[in-house]
Amino acid sequence: MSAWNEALVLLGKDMRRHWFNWVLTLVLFTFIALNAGSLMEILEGEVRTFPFFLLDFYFMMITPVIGCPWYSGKFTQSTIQQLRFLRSLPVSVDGLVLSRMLLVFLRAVLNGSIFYLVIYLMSDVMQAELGGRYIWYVLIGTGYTLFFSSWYPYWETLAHRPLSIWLSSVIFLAGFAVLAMLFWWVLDVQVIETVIRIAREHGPLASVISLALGLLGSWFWAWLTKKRLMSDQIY
Amino acid sequence: MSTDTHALELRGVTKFFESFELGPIDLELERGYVMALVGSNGSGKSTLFRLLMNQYPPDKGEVFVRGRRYRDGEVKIRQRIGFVPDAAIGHDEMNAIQLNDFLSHWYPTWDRQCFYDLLTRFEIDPKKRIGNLSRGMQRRVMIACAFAFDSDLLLLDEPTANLDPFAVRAVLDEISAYMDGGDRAVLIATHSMDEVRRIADYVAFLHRGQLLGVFEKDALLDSWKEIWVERLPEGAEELPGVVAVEPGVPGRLVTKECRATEQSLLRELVPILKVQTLELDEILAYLMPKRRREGRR
Repeated sequence: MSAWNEALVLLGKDMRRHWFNWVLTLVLFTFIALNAGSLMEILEGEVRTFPFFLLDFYFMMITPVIGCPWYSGKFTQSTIQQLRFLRSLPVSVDGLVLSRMLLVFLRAVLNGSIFYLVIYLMSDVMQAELGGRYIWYVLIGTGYTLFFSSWYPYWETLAHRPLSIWLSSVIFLAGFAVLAMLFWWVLDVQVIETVIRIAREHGPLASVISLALGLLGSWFWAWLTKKRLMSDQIY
Repeated sequence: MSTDTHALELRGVTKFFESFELGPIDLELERGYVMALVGSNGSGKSTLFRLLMNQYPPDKGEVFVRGRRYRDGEVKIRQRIGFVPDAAIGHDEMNAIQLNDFLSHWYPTWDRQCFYDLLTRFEIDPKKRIGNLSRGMQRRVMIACAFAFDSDLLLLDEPTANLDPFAVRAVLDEISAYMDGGDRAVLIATHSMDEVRRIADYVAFLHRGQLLGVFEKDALLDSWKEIWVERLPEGAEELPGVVAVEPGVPGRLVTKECRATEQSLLRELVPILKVQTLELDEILAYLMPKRRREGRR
């Protein structure tokens, strides 16, 4: 069986195993999108207040996890046990890693579709500023999502050690906080506004570059995950 | 190069952990034989099985399965190994019907009907979620999985733990039937003397990550005995084969060379009351101090 065939079988198993989590995540991103859509209204104002920074931070934090499941202790525990089970079967590591990456991609597409659709419907700014070019905004965001969400398969190989989970999660959050502050206070770049402008002026090119970087990031995380699965570190 | 007459071969296999070291282990299991792996909890048995399944890559040494190394094709090697790990995990959301379907993707020789027959034999409800089964029942499912395809080697990590005596008998019967296939081999971790007696050809003792020795079962059971005597002779500790002496009336001697000890006792005109085979854990316990003494020399 090829790695692709293996990955599709495993993807089907994961979807049957965690169907409730898939539904829950879709609902969650609908709710987040409603919230984000209402926050978008501040883009219409002239005065730049703290919430504006919060909007940037909000997007920078949420967009990277669009392709990830909804975490819980029980979920991660069952995930790591599943990985251990699969590593006792004649499943290639390539097939296993590919299945986890496809899982991220599929979730990114499903959750991202809901997320961006709701925001578009809720936000007059997006409709007025971008119209049909909103698709470029979505694709730029999707590249960013792929780059960081593909971190998830690597993260779940840490899931047998609670300290590793918390530490890596804190680092992940702190990293985006630092990044948002860097954009705002050092580089003087307002992230959402800038992405809207890029989508309007250089949409196709920026989308291709963003998706390419997203896939490059996915490849990097897949490589790291494979190394980890081939070692004894998930036990 | 390893020869493929060996079902399994370990050469200097070593694995380091923060507080535990397994090996170096040199071990050979030829085709057509069953080897029992005996060791106390924490001796490294499950770690050894994970090394054999390439879940843990060794830090030193090499594992050969039928002369092949995992780096030459992990998937193909695993397709020919029936493995029962120490715990049933990772498929609790499925019932046995779904598991049958899922596993048939990975093993080219998977036999669905054989799996169902085994489920029937082990009295497992195929429609019940595996996560809702008792631990003993989950164990039976794992065992059914290991026997439901054509394999060359069975790696069974305490397969009969949590099983009732009837199920144990059924499992041992399955292993015996499996070995009728001739060219196969089994490595089974166990604490049970009865299991060793019934199915093993060789016994390997593992203690704190170190292999204390591999013994031919019949020779082991014939030679390691406890001998009850009316009175202990002078210098009983020095008699050939004696590894332990318990004074009293009657006295008790533990020997690793029963025949030689018996002859010496007869020469000393000491009446022998009873000769009994030792339990595996007792033999293991006597092997340990022996090893420590040798280590100090």
